[in-house]
Amino acid sequence: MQVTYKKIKDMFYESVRDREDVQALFQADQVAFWCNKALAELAESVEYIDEEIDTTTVSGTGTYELADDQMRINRVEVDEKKLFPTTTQKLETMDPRWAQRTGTATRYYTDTIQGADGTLNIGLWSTPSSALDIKVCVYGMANVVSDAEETECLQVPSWFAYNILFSMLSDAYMAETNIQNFQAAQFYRILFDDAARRLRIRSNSRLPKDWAYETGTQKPGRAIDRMPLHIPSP
Amino acid sequence: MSLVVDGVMAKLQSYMPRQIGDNRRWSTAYVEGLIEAADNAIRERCELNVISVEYPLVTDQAVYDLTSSFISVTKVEFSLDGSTYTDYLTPVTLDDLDDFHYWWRKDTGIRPKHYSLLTVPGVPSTPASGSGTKGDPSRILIYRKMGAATNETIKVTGIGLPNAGFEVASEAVQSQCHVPYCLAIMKAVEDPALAGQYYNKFLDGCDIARASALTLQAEGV
Repeated sequence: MQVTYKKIKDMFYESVRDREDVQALFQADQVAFWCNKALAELAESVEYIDEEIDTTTVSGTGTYELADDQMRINRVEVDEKKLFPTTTQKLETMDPRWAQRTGTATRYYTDTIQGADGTLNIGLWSTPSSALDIKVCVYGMANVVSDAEETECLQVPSWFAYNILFSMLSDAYMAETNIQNFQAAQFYRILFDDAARRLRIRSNSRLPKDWAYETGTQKPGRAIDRMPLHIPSP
Repeated sequence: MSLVVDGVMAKLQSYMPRQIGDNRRWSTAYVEGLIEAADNAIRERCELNVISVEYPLVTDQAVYDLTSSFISVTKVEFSLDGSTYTDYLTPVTLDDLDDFHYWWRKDTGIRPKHYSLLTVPGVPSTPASGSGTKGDPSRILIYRKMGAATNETIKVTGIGLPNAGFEVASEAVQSQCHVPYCLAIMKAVEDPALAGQYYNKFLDGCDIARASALTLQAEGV
């Protein structure tokens, strides 16, 4: 059931009545670009991939750079204990000399330290005075696809994978070519957006939070009686 | 009832005679891909296909990879002996676990009580790249992890996709759901308005399939 990039690419070329070739209307790198664009859009709007980045603090270093393909930090742990989020403004208010404090980190901040290149940075307070294990949980982006690794599967839920094709087709029919077709582009885009919305709902409510009890057993004594009868459906 | 790929292909052949196959308008591989896409979409919308997968627990391991066949997880059961499931794990978030104990990642026990899900269910494993856990599939985290595991097992149940090549569906579902979906995709370029109508038929077909299947489980009947 896992869908490879090659499968998606082959279906793309057949859909647009083209073939992967030097004479192709849409070159292979253009097709890969559209696929990666769809994956990036999905990761940013749905936030469905949880990544954990493990690193080690360096004594005297308060800020750490993460990779450039991570969307948002949602949790930070040092030595397997949760750090609380804060801002530099709060730290300034609390202690004007906050930047000079060293010790065991108890809070993290992300404001005032982000670069223009899109790379996420994280600041720890107090500045660590020794080497500690740090775990940063982020919403990440799917692996990018390329022709060199076309037999790898797409890092999206298996049920969703073919919708990436629809986003690519939407881009292809929107482009200024002799097959330009706005209505077809819009149709394919609607399919992709609809599936992305469903994936977002599934991602946000991935844990069944609505628990139903059988009639007459409002508070069952045994855990075996507590069955989630359904999940919140989109 | 028939294999989806065979049944839907035959129905599409009747809608488009002599247009599917080698050196024809649509290749067989392409149409089979569309049928798989349709089947995935239908199973996600209708939520009728339930799958269960067992995972033997390992000493001091809290996170386990989930198979990519899952669309969602509805319950997680626990067995001490690996065969008789006597307990249910309740879902929690990592913030809930922080409230239980600030150093919960270190905790071990003789049976897990809670679980959480990392990455939405259904994401397959891909080669690691970049930093961190990039490339990891969907995972389940249990609390507490086993201090010393022998035969302990968890069984994860949820809505899912059938094994590849074993998708079956009734003739009615194939006609009402799979066929309109495929036709919508195939007609989108030459006649987007017609494609829209086919897609609406697909949506209606999913509603009918879901409703008719769930009606059979009405209370007390």
